[in-house]
Amino acid sequence: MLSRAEIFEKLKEILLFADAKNSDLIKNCDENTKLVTDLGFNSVSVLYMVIAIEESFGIVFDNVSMNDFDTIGDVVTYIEARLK
Amino acid sequence: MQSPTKEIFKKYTDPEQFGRIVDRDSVSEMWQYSVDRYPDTVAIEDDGKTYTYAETEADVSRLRTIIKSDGDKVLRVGIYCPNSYDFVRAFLAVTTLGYTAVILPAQLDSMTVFGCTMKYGLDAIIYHPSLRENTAIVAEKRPDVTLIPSDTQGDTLTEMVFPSGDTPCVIMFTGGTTGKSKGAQLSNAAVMQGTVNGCYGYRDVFHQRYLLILPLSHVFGLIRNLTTSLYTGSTLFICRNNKDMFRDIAAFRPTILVAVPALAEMALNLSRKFKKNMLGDSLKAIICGAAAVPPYLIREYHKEFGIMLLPGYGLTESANLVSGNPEYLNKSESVGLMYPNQEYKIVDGELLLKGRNMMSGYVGEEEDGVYDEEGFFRTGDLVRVDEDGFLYITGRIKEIIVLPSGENISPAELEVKFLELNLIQDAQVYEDVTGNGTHILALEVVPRMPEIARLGIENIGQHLTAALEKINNALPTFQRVSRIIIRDSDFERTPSMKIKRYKKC
Repeated sequence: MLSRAEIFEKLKEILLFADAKNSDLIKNCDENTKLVTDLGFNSVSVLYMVIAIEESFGIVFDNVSMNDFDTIGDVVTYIEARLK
Repeated sequence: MQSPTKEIFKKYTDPEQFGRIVDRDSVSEMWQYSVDRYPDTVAIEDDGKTYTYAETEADVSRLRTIIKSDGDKVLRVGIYCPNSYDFVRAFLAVTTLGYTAVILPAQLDSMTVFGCTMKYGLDAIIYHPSLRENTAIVAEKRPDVTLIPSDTQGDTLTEMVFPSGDTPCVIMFTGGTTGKSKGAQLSNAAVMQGTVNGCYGYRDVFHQRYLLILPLSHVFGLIRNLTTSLYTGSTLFICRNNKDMFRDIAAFRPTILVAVPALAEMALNLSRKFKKNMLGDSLKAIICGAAAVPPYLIREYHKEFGIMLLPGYGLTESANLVSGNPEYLNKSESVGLMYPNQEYKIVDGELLLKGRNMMSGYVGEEEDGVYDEEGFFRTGDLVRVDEDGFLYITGRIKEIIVLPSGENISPAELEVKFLELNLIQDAQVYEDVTGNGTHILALEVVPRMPEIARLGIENIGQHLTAALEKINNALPTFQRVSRIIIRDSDFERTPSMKIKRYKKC
């Protein structure tokens, strides 16, 4: 079982791939960083992130939209719950 | 100028299949032919169920019974459904009665749906049960508009009607060339020309496996995905949620995918990250459009997976397809050859169109400026045509920058030059004013970080600036930019994911 910190690091790696345009911001992000307002995520970035998370963590998301996740911490919490 | 005949596409398609690409006058004519010829082939796969052409027609026929008016009145029927078998059934039922389908995107709210009943004079709306709440205002204020749940079935069968080609078939929303939302009315002949145009320029056309990820409320989804699939006796798998796209691909194994460039790029990057072809081994072609297709995507798909990424150009007003590029590798910046049955002219760089695929007009709108004095539709797109007849989009009229010297600069044309550099993800050329009041051309770019990381480039700013300057210095003097900015974040985007253009002057 991955720790929250390990999930966060693995997620950062995915985010870098999902939206490499903001690499500096993502490298310096924390759990309070907002996906849309801080990182400028759009619908394609979110789709990319969701698919990459499913593939990397071996979990399946319920129906999700951009509004379901405000911060990176929200995503970590979702993954954590799914891995349990 | 007359567009080429279909013979120009002959060499790209299997000869036997090319002979089967024939024009049809109406959706009814096309659908009857497909039902007769491919009755046991699966037409639609949705939500775990399959529907053959014959089964679909039986369902469509029962829905026709519900919709059909008592007299001879030709109706306008709204279709308010998300991507689903119900949408397909409703579209076919309405159009094969010779009625007009008014496509109401599923994201419309209740007031807008109500507004559409007024603006488009709707007689009925076929709505998906999941959208029932949004029809409440219509039920209350417009009792004359019949509301039909999309899962309704009549007890008896009703035959198709075969309207003439000029009978209105569908009204679709478009931003138009002025940016204001309008309803473009397409005749049966226009829809069928758009449908047939989707058959040109690649080898295997019939009996394909299409995956639908685009909204059917968009002309690219409705015509290039749905009706071309039905015309060619193919199977259409409806992906209900784009996040399941790759699972659906693994299960369905599509041979053709119709996608916007952003999705094609996402699939490529995910394939690289997970070191497997996320689009599956069966995929032969990606039909790519609705936005500019970066040439590097075409090359990378060919190199890494042997997949044809075929760019094209079209508008809602032209029933989707104006041109398609069968020479996608040799002329990767082009949107291809003009499809048959069109006339075109280029006036001050702008493409003007007339032809069988063109809309009959915007519904309930003034037509000032939409057409020229000879009835050609003004696309608002700036183009050029090369010596082989291939079309290139060089910009949009309203985006043109007129320099103090009087020279016209098309930002899009310049951006394509800089985007040739694989290390650039996006670019924007704009006019700016310096501190001393001089008007200059400026360039901002977003680096393509995966490529930069792959090549191990360390000083990104210096490296990119040098590479961009090299391109810049090769341009004619008046086109050269005076300032280059390397961004560390994406551009601001419009809701449709296009770059929001700067207006600094």
